[in-house]
Amino acid sequence: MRILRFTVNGDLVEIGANDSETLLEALRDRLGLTGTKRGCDLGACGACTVLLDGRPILSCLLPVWRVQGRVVTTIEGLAEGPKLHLLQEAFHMAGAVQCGFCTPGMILSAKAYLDTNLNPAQGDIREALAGNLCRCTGYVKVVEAVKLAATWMRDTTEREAAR
Amino acid sequence: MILPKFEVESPLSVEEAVRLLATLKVAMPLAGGTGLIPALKLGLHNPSVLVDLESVEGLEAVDCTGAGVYMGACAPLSVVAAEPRIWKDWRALAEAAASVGGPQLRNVGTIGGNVCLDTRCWFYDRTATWRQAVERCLKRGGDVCLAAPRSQRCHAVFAADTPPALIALRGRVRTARWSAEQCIRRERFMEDLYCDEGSRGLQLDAGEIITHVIVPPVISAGEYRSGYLKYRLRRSIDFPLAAVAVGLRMADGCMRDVRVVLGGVASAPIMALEAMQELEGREPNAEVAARAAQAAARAARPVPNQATTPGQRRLMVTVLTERLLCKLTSDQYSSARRDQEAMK
Amino acid sequence: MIGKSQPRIDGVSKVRGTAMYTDDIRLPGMLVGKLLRSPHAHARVLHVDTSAAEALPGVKAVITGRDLPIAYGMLPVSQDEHALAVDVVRHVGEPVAAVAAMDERIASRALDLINVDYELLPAILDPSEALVRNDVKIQDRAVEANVERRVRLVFGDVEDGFRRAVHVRKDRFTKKGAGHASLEPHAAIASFTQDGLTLWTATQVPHYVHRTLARVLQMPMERIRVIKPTLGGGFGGKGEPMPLELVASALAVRCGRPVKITYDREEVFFTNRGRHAYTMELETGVTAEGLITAVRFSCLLDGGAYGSFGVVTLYYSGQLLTLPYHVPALEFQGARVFTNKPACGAQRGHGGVAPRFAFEVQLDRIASDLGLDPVEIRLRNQVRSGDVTINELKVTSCGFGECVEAAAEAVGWSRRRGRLPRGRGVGLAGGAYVSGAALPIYFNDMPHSNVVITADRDGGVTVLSGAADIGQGSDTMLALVAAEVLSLPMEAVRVVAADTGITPVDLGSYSSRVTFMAGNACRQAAEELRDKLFAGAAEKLGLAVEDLELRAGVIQKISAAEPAMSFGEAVAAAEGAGVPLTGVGGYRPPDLAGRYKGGGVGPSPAYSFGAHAAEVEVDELTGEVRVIRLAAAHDLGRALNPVAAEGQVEGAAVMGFGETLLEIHEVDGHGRLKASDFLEYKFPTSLDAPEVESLLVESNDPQGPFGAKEVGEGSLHPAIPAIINAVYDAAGVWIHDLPLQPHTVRAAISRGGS
Repeated sequence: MRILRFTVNGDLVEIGANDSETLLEALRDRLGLTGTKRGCDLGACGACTVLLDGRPILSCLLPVWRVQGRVVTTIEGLAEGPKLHLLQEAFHMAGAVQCGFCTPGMILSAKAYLDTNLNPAQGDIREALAGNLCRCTGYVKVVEAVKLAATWMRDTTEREAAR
Repeated sequence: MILPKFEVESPLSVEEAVRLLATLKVAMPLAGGTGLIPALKLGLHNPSVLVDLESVEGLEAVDCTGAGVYMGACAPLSVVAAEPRIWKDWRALAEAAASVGGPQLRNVGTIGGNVCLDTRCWFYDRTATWRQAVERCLKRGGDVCLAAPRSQRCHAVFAADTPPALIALRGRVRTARWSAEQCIRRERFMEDLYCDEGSRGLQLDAGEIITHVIVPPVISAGEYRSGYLKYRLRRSIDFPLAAVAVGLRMADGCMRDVRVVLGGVASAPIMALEAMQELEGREPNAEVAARAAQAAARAARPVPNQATTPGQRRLMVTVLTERLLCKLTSDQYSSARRDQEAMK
Repeated sequence: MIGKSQPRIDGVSKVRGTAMYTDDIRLPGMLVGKLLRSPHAHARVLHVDTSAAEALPGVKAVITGRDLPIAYGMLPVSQDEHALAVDVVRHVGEPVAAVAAMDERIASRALDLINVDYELLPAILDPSEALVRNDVKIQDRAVEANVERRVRLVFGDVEDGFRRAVHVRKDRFTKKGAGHASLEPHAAIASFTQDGLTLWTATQVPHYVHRTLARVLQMPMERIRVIKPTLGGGFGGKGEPMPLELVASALAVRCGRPVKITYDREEVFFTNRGRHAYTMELETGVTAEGLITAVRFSCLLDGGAYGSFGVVTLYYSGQLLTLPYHVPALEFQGARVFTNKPACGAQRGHGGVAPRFAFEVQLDRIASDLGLDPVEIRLRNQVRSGDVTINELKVTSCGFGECVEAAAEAVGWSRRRGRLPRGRGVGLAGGAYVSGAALPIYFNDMPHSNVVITADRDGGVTVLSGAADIGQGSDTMLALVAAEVLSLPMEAVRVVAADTGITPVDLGSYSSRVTFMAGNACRQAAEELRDKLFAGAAEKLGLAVEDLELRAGVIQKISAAEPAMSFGEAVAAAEGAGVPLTGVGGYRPPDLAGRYKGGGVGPSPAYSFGAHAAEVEVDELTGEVRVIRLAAAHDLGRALNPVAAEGQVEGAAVMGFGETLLEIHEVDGHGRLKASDFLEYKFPTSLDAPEVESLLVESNDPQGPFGAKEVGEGSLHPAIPAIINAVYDAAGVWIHDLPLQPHTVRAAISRGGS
């Protein structure tokens, strides 16, 4: 058992965790952040995706001690109070959510991607989401949602730039 | 699924890391963990200590400012795959790194870890319940290969993407180990790390780790070209079922210093020597490429322990080799033909 | 509101990550349960020694098959399962014992300490061996060898049909098994208190779980409450009672503490209930014009070790062949056999998928033999609204022809079929599916779906329904139907669903029944509530009920400009009568069963129709097939919520694509799954899935809620043969064995055709 201090969704947290524990377990069982899902537990589905220092990673494969002093963003950290992140809004409005189990990971992968590129081509979106399996949507509306969010985010950026 | 109980050591230097590995009982080095953590969850290893190389200072850097590429073993694959100079001069490496797993895995998986990836097999990478009913295979310390029962050796597959590319690019590794109270470092050719026996693991001494992966500068004379093509059933996530990396230099219209290296079709990355001989010194054309591709396929030794059939995997070696050679050299076909016509 | 896209009512909590799935729930004092599974395909369990496990500190209970001796099963005719094996294990991965412990690590160690003595029995893994082998009995109830059921149905004069035929084709087809691969693994939490047993479980069928718990635990139903939390995908895989539900409950009763069991991914594959592997023989006769004169179909289903839904699967295999084409005579023979494998059951498109593949591919071959256009032969044979099929299926609405034309148009059929460069091709296929089954699984006269709507005094309503939203969006559908009838905004409708302690019975989410049945029940309930509301308001306003209308949350005199009364005031007026304002609705299908044995499977109050057109690229050198796009037309009666309906069509089409090219659920020579994780069970990634264009066709079913029919499952059927038929257009070969694999495509190409 060791004490770990790291930032989750903007808050500094301190937890005790065993060495043989994954970040996924710590998030779900110790921090109650159950928005991060366990789909296959072997790194092949992407349901457990979170952002580590802004980059998407598979929390089921990440030993928890690795997050010492680092910044973790889970799906719970995207909305600002009642206000959804534009990607969340777009997923919701475009019908990109069905069962919702892949959704948190899918949104986080998309966020990391749009953070680097707000003018995505269709194929690039599919590439960016290629580590997130979805069994419900056939990916059609997921890709549409990311495109929609990119448009909204571009508009927001331009508005802010204009100010 | 739970991980077995182990302790973690987080050394700050290579010296400390190899000393820990040498002195602690049942210690294993850990890089990104994208290969080892699933294996631990499946109960394939039971270390009492993991020595985390990520904490070691300076092992994450990718430096291609000087001659060649100098990569710390813990450089994430996504960093390697995002480096414009690697795409430009050592394309095979960039293509291979970009094809590993999915995007999230590449952010954590490392170049050193990929070089050290354990061989894989349908009969091995399984839960205890699944493995229990049948006798132990060679890779688990038994004496039969469940994939090829009449064989005397283990046929687990070498399915890492970057090593074939690195070998094609004449890559080397720098290693370190602890011996006689000091850290011994040495440099080795990438191809010497592997042996075509699925259960034997890397050709490293006990407690020896890879600290750096090095790709030499492109050979000055002529134009260096390389590439990597991978066959799998899905376009993401999957390991290669067959793969080929080619590196060569075009000089005076001829292919020089050719390397053709296969992945996913044997227990080690395979240098397709016969194919390399077919190509070396020749002017590129479709016929030469086809002959070399046939020769490459003869070096493949797939057995039924991965998806699809061994025949399909062997065929894909031919197809990918031919296509990759065409991609790398077809711009030279017409000029060669022009020259021939001019001579007539 | 109907017909305009609405976001899901649970969408915000899902995108925020706050939706509670079963495994997200954590109760005070909760223990972790785990199952010990058999490594053998077939063995007698001689002795289970649990003493060492029980002695391990932190272990609270260990149970074995003897603790749950009562058998259960999805169908009344197949009560052949035990939560934990009693005496015999019949497949690798079958649960044998279970523990409850302080945490997962202790539970896992405890499993290692359980000692099971097995006596190995010969295993049957080949279904054709199961047909004839009498010396090994996987299930005692199999009378002939290991045959669970043989079916023979004959409709019309088959001999005469074939005599009338100018052309007859007979072909053999196979399809390997497939799995649901929902992203969420099965999970269940049981809590046993003074109030009785409460089970939170990832199930599509809370009602059947409720009944089964009562039966196996010998506990009255009123002492049991089954709650389905947010559910992460079903597709049939959570469509029947599962061992973890019974085991968690038994352990909770034993320990007096809550127990959670969550399957790991391999356990989900061991549980299976996926698509059966099929071997099929199909013979079809046609006239010179391509009109079907007779069909003879036989199939062998590899059922695995237990009954599950299998007998229904078997009947559907033949019964659904009479749609969407007019078949004047049909002879169907089929058998489902037991093998020592995880049991197969219902998967999206249940029963019809493999036979539809065979039929549609053969129909293209017939068209090709006769020199007819595949679109043309389909239009010539199409069933139409008002038709009754030879096996007594009543077609109440049908947009099949329109589907065929829309799909064909979308890929430029008339200019492109047969005219694309070699290696590229387009193909088309049709299909049809039920909007729920006319008969319930256990015989009774009660409604299949019930809805109660209660009114809030400030103007909202609560819909109570037993229907299980498994991701398809049924809660949103219920809210939409209620909002439409009551002219309320979506936000004013709250849905409480799938809680047997609160909500009225609904049979669950299977056979694509929910929109049609729960939707009708909801509409009826809302209308009743509206009528009561009008009665109260009319009295208060001194107007006649006929003079009132509901518009945007207010009651007013018809075409009056000023609102007369808000919804909330009307509720208060209605409750002035001294009783709460509620509306109830129930849906029971009309009596549709065919008057013959087996006539209960197939009949549905309405059928959906569909046609897909696929565009593919075939690499003739490597055998690789790339599906570029699928144009998926689906007659869903009426699109209540178009964005949700499109999502169903797209998802089903891509699932069909996966089954065509990638997915294989099968075992090795020891009965062990070849693919038991998401690396080896290859379902499509975002880079594999084709673009899908969903084309919604509205035939307005007279019985459907606002004209709606099913949309969740039917769109899987045409996807598979459309791709196969496109492969023929591209490469000139007919693929008869699924999934289509690169080496089989190459083999077909080198054989040069068929």
